[in-house]
Amino acid sequence: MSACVRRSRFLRNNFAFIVSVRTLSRRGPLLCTPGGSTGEQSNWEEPPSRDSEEDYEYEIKKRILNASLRYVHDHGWTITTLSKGAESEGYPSIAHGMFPRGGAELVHHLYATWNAQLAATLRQEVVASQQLESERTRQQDGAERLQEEPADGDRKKSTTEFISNAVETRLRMIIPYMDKWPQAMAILALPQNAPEAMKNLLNLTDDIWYYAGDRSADFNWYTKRLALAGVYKSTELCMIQDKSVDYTDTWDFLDRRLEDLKQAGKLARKVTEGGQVAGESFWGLTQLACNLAGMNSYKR
Amino acid sequence: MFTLGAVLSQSRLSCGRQLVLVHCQRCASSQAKERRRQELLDRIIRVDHAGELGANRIYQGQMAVLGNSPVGPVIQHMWDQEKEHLKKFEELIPKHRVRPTVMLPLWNVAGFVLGASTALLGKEGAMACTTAVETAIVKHYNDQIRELIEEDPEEYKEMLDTLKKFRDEEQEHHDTGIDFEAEKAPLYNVLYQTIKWGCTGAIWVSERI
Repeated sequence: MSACVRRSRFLRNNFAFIVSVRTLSRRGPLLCTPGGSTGEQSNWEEPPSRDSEEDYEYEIKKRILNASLRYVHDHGWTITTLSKGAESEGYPSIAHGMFPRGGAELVHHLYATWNAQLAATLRQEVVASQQLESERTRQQDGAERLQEEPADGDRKKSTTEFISNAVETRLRMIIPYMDKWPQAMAILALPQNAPEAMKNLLNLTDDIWYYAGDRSADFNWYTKRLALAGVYKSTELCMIQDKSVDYTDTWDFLDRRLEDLKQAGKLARKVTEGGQVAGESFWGLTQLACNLAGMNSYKR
Repeated sequence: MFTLGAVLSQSRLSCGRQLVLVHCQRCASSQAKERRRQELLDRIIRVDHAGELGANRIYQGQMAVLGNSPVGPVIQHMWDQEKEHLKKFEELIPKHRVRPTVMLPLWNVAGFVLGASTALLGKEGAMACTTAVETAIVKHYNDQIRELIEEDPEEYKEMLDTLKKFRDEEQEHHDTGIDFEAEKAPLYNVLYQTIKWGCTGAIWVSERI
């Protein structure tokens, strides 16, 4: 075996130690400077910047996490899965030490990956529908307005439809892992994992509302996202025990919850308007009472 | 919040292993730098939006009491400028995917109460409140401008121009307050210090939650 092959295998097998040594020796140059007095160029001469080191570790972690996913069906969301994933990428099995929260990190990573995929899909959908709208406007500007309605596929989606499709798309991503997803949900419910799970859920609902067209900058920002988070969570719970073909019961459940949300919004608006009307009527009655009592009269 | 510019791409290594990378659309800037940038913008826009909302409500409270007095038009002019500032930040919030502060309902009420109660002390009281609030706001705009310049003046040029313009207008409001005899308000020193430190506390809270 040549020296080159031995050296690269040594580096790969002891990667974690080398990274931790580099992290500890932030103060000055690295412990090894193989360039030496000849001044030949070496990748190890400059101390790595904070950003590039963070990114380097981040990329390694992502590789291990992605490789671990195929072992989830056999070993669940555990350190064993992470060890097997690390080994399959050529790292020592103790590289699972890079993940202090163990299997929970795998769940968070998968959740965040799915969120990113959904965001990319939604963005493409929004861009495509905007292009379609501008195309149609250009056509109708030049020609006579057509009498017939546009085809169903071309019609602009309502907000509820958009959100329903987005939530369904996102929930369908769980299907390949459905056998182990209840365990994942239980892991996310643990107190040490709950903050990050909440953050991922709110990021998800923020993306869905943003691409559905919400641009609110007041407290509605929170009410909308929290309400959708409730809908998503309850639909997810419905899905893990749904036995119907292609989860049709879950999608019906989702539609009913979104309908509830819409009705709640309408109710809130009616209450606010009703409150204003009640306030004005009360003020009018007070003025009437003052007039009748002669309090506003000049002759007093 | 999750950066808008991230796109997932998948590539296969020559050994057939799949690698999923998240790239920033803009350039090859690192994950860590992008995350820091987003956190910085998030914090700055959130607190500025909260500040402008508070200032709007303070002037609204002052107008409710002193609207028909001789100093009414002056307060109205300052309020109109604050409305412009608030509109600008309300545009920036969805543009940069920033989370507004959760304290918004509280600042809504507290601002109005502060404005109305200081206006009840007379014109000098209202001006003292304006002076104190604007002192705190000018200081925090200056801190933000310094922070952005230290980070990268080229990248944040638009944001810097906006902040500088608003800072200059807030300084004008402060000077108007002094011109209209803020210092003659009853217990001016106590009022000034209390309101200034109250604003500083509100700014600290809004930056975080």
